[in-house]
Amino acid sequence: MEFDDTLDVPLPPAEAWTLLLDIERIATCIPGAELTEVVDERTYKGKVAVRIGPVALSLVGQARLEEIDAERHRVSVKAHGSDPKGRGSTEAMIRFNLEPAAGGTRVAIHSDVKLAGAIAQYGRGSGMIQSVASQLIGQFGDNLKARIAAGGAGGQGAAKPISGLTVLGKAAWESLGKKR
Amino acid sequence: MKPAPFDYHAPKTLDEALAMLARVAPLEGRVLAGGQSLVPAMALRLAQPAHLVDINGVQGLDRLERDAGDLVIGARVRHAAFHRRVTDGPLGALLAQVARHVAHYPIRTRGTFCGSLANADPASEWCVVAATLDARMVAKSARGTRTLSAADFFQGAMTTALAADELLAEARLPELAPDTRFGFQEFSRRAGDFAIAMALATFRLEKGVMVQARLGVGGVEGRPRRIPEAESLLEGKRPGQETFRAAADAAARSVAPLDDSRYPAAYRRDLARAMTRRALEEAA
Repeated sequence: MEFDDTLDVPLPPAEAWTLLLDIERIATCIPGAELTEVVDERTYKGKVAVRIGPVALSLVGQARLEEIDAERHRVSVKAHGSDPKGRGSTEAMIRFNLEPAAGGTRVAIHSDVKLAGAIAQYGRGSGMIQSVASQLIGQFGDNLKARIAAGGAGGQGAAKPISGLTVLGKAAWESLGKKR
Repeated sequence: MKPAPFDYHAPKTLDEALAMLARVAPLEGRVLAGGQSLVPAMALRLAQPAHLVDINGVQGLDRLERDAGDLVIGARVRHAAFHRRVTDGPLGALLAQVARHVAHYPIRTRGTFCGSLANADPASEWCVVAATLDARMVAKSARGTRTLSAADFFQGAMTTALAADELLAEARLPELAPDTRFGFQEFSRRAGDFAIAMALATFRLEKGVMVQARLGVGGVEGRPRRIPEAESLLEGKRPGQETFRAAADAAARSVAPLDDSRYPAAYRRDLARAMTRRALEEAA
């Protein structure tokens, strides 16, 4: 299935470009993701935990930066992962295209995702999967903005691979605490 | 098929349940209430929780009563509890009408209201009710209690703000004014099947014009929500075909429908329009 999303980053394109390619830092902003190994400067191994209703999946695999076009601020990532419990696997080709926008940079994300195995039948159609993917991108954007606000673009944030979900959970908890 | 092995816990008190949940949440622990979504997914081995915390024996979670202007619905309250009006006035009537659309009778005797909210299926009727009526969700964990608005609670398809160690202990639905009118319309392929689109409309009439108009749409997008663009077209207007049609068009324009090969986005958009118009006609 193919689908498109956008993400706004409050940094000029050149800075956003540098930040987005700093995979070790970016990985901590991906909800549920954990970077386990840097194979080489373009290849990363890790796992992503996704929870869709009663189904909690952990996809273990790798992502590779295929094409990096620093001129036009475009990058494509090829990723694959499979569930250690044998419930299926996924292959994805994701293209990021950075363009200047009013608030900084708009990142256009085009995803081409293939699911195989039992998970492909789950969710009564691809619409639900797309909705979850868009949701993850939204959360990633929020985490990224929080990171930028906290440390500034050039700040030396710790690249400790912690769970994005934990970060998100804490952020949600804190924001709710403030509302009351 | 049979489920993968899991440890079963049956706490008797809420504190026990929350302590248990805190312990097993990092180990893929799950709450078992009615089990009408979880257990089939386990039977297919799609869901393979290592621990189940069964809350069916937990005291106090069967609460279903009025409290401070709210109807409080505890985590153990089954869908079938709403077949009869649980409260006087339009809220009880609304819930009784919607309950008839929730799956089939045997499922309604097991599945729970709060379980539906926590599962957050886009096709869930109770999720539309919670979103439209601005329900508040009370999430409890060993860390404490927090109350979430429907807008914060529902995050996307089958995704809520609940953390893994949190239990949706109760949902609080605000009582409706006695003269509130409502309409609920759902489209599914077969009776009891998952809804492809739903609309819930409520309003009051003051001097012949609609006030406190609410319109919620579900099944169309990843999560149910109110559609302010449609509500604003109703507020202060006399109920009538033209107004309803304008609001239905606004609802159809405002949604970003789920899109897949069975039910393309354009089809769901059309259904959102039709369900909105019918729900408003029913309410009027």
